[in-house]
Amino acid sequence: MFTLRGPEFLVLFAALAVVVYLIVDALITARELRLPSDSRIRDPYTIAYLRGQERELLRVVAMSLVFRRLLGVEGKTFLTVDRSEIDRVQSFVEQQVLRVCQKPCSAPGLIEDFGFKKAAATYRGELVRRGLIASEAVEHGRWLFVFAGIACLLVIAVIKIKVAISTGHSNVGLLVVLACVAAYVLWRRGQVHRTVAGNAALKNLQVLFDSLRRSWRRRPKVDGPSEAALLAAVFGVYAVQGFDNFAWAKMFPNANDSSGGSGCGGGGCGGGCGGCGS
Amino acid sequence: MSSQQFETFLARLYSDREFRERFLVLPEQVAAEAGLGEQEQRAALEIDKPGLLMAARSYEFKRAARRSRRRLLRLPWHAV
Amino acid sequence: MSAADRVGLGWRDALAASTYVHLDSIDVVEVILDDYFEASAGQLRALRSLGNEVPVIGHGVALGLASVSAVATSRVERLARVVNAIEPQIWSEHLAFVRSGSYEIGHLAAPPRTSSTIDGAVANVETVRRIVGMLPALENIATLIDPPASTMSEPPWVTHIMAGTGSQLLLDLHNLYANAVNFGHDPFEYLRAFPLNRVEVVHISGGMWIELESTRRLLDDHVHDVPDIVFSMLAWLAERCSQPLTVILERDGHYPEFDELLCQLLRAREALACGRAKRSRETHELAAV
Repeated sequence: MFTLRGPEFLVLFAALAVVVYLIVDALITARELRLPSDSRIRDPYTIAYLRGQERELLRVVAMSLVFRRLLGVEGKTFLTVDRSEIDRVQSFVEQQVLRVCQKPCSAPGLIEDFGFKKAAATYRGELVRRGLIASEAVEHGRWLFVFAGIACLLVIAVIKIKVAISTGHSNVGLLVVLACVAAYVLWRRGQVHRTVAGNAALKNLQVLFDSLRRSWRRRPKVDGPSEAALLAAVFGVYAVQGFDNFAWAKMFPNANDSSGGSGCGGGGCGGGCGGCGS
Repeated sequence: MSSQQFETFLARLYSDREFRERFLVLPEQVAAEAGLGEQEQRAALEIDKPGLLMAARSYEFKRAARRSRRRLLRLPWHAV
Repeated sequence: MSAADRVGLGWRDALAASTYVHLDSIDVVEVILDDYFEASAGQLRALRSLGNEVPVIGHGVALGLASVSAVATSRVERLARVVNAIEPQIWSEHLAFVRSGSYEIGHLAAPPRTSSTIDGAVANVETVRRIVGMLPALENIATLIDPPASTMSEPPWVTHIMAGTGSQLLLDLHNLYANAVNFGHDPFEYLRAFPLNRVEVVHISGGMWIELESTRRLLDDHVHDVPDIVFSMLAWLAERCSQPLTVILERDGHYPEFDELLCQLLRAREALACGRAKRSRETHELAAV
């Protein structure tokens, strides 16, 4: 194998990297499938955290408060509309956001706020308990497989580089790049915050509401703040029609993370039977 | 009494406008042509005509709604 | 309401988000099984996951069981795939025919109420039970036309089918009300004649009066609010039934604000509670004698 010509070895190495990734992914998946989980989540903020951790939680909380006219938007900052409402909201994370935004506060500022982080931690804790977000133990298990996979690929690459140099070949740049890319992809696999059960839970929600999301393109309608929060949690705030996406994009500069898949199309007209009889 | 032919006759009355209109004009002939037995022909002649027209219109609308994949956007009736 | 009575809503795409966020006020949801015949494994999984949040029951709409013709096994198999994937607590279908020969009616039609259609329904339900693995509850349908060639009225026809199949009854109160008023019966007397001891699920919905050439009939269209009399009939039913009832509000379009639908669910709960309370008082009075 190590005596193969450069281009042939690169093809082989790429194929090997794919195989190693699939094996690592399968091992992680098999391990996590054995873990107990409880995927019954209805709270939009919990779902938002599951989808995109603190960033998504903040987006959905802020959107919900703006929708209910408890939070205003001024340029790139949020501002609490009426301080007397702070103690009336029932959700702790909403209270934290409204407290911080008594003075104009940007999204990055909110994310770093201690009170917000403390509130966000409760959602993380619940999702870890339910087996939907990786606990430390689960993460350690993943890293074992990931590092083993990375080590395997790097050893092969290093051996090949040594053989190449020893035979007078110095054009090993492409192999180095390929090895780095493979290692990075494996490393990212270890970084996924959701467990297999968490991915499945989010995917199920996205499929369950997919027809509704698609129907908005024809006839946008949001029934109320709770529904808007739920759909924003499942699909991202940009999926909620009637929302000022342009203004929102200024406050949250990076593109909305739609990780977790975009639900499948087709099937299910979901419109009822139209009357039982003639 | 309720044969396969009679059910098919009814299904056609409900779903085939031309057949229905012809039946309303020439009920004996159409019932006989449908191969119905004597009792069934009598039942056909005694059919609830206003109900037949209402039911047929309702079924037509539902078939159309299903074809266009639209829900009941506009009812075919004026509410009374 | 007795402890085991439940009140719920039909699961509709347009109402999905609202239904989900208000599941605390909803005991059960009913899904239209036919909507999922072409569903992928992922879609069925998602529907099954809904069952983790709230009890789900299934409702078929196009098998055409009440017919002298045998039900198409291919259709039943498609329905069975969905039932087996989502494992509803109960599933139901209609006492109707929807096609015959090469003619598709397009919706539920009342067959002639005769011994032939009773036998046909019993045979078809047995076929369905064998393929699906579970007996369906059977629903009475509304009809704008008095079914021709009938040799009996609707209540005994339904009673015979229940006895022959062993199925439970899904009693649609608005359908029953529509048939009663359309063909000259008192709604409560008509209701009394049904096999009330077999009622497992109740549908409530609304409709509107329509007119054609001076004939007025009530159309059950599922796009209007539940009328007061249907709630009264529900209370009346709860008073006379000892078994738990699952009540489903059917709404298929022209949706009001979701709070209005929740109000109708609340009215259903109140009607059940009222009927149960009367039943309880009568039982105590009898025991005291």
